Amino acid sequence: MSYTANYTDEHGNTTTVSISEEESREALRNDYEALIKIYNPRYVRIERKRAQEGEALHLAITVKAPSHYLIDNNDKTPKACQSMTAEIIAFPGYPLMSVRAFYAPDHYLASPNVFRSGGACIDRWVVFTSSLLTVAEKLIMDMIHNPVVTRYDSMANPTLEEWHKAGVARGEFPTIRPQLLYAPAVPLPERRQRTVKTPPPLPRRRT
Amino acid sequence: MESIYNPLKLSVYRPLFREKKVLIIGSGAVGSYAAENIAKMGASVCLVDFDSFTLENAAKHSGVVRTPEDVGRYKAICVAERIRPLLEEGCVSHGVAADLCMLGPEVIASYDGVILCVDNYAAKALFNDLYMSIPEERRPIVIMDGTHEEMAQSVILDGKEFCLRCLLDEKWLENGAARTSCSGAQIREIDGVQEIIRTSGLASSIAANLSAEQFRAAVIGADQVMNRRVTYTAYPHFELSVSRPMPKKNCPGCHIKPPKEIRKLTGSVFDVTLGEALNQISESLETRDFEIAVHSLFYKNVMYAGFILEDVCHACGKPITVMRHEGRTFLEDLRCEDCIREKKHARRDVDFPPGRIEYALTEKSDPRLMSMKLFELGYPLGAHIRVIQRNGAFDFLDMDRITTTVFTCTDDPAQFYNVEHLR
Repeated sequence: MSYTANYTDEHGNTTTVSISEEESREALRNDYEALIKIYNPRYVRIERKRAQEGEALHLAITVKAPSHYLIDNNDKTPKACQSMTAEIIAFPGYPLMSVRAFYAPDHYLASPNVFRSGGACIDRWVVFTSSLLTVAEKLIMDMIHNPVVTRYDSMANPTLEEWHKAGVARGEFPTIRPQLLYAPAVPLPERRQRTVKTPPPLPRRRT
Repeated sequence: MESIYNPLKLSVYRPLFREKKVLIIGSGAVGSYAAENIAKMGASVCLVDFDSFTLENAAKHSGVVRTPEDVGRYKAICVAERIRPLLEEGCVSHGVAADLCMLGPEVIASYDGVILCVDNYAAKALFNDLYMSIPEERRPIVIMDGTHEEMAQSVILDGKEFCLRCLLDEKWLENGAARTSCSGAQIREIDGVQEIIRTSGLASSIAANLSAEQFRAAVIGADQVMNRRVTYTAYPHFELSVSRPMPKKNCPGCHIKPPKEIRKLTGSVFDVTLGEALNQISESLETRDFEIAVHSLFYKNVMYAGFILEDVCHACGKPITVMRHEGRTFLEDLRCEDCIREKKHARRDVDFPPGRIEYALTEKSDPRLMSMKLFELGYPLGAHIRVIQRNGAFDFLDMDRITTTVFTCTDDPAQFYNVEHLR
């Protein structure tokens, strides 16, 4: 059994790619392992949830930073909160199959890029460009209202466009410095002590 | 019943064809000739084509199709009926008006030979996906033919050296639905102006003859027949040549691996409900801890792998019940009854939120699904039904625990002869 999708490279050439079930699972594992190393656990918690039928991986990503939420599909007044959680589901066939991202329908992110049903607008899935990492990054930046990732032309919830732009204009968004969310750079390992003694310098030529 | 033919005037090899069953996919300019040839050879023929005859087809299709009486009739059903009087005693001809998406690997595997006479690469690529999913020892021989101007070509393969996809330039598949032939796109561009590459009925009939000859040679066991391409070039460079195609590097078609084991379900996708399938699978696997993956179809560059339960009307935004496989759902199907009645079109400019989609079917799935037949759930006739056992795995990161078993319905190939339309 294999999964197939079209891949368009940077030159615009499209080729069809097939991957086996094993390769799909390996890609999922690689991306998950990379994902958990990127963010600072003090601010971003990535939690595996039990995958249900049809799901390959179910993650809950919590950002512990100021954010805003709405409570139902008629709610238009963002309310402040100190953390926000989004969920990502990857399906068998990843990374050729797109992932699904959403918030709890009764506590969803107030953002022009989140549908009133709680579904997150994560843009078009581009094979071998989009991944668990790119989706998680978009969601995490969305949760701190970082305008760098906000698509104001999204159809998800245009009523919040002005509110979001006003927050950016007041300097309130992003709610924390985005750099804080990333894991501190790992220092390079200490240089080993030389085990071989350097021979004495050659005598200088007399001038 | 006595044969209508005089056996003394026919090939000595004719008895070898008596038991052969040939599936012809596409029943137009080439397919109708191929069907006539194979029927006259003394083999059984089955045809598949979703299209119907128009008056303009008369210039190219075989003389067995009557003009204008057959205009408007489904090509496959019509050709099958017209070649019936030509059949050898004991042979059958059957036509099914269906899209290739409605067929699964096991229907294809039930034939001795398949002649692919389709005019678009999306269908050729889909056929190759199905073909390469069949275990190697059960693959029928495949003959793909086509024309380009007055040139005709036919390739025969057994799927062991190369696949059909190896013969296709990946660029041709960028717009796979465009009308094409085996040797290239049927539209060319000269100084920025596109023009249709014209081909005659004669070239089409020669392509069908080449296919029939390759089939004949394969059946009688002639040497150096398999995995060869025969090319006919018309005057002024008249030539008949044979070449041996090479496998393509990194071919996605060759990458497809058939399942190691295929277990049987009693019945066919037409009569087995999801509830019955779950019971049969649980008896076979001796556990109820499994899920059936929704059928995944990669066609025209899109992957369809979900079953849509609910969505919103793509005209007015009202919630609607869909209950269809993604691959069988067109945008216009996503409209509420009011919008259909008022003839409002589905909107392509609005990004509607995703509907409620199932990717796997289990005992805990929506109760409405339990009484639905497997075909209604999106599994094609002769499908490979993938069953995933998690064996306590938390998710797919617990790679070693997850096992996949493939099932198929035993009656599917036979059921193919009981239907005229698949939709």
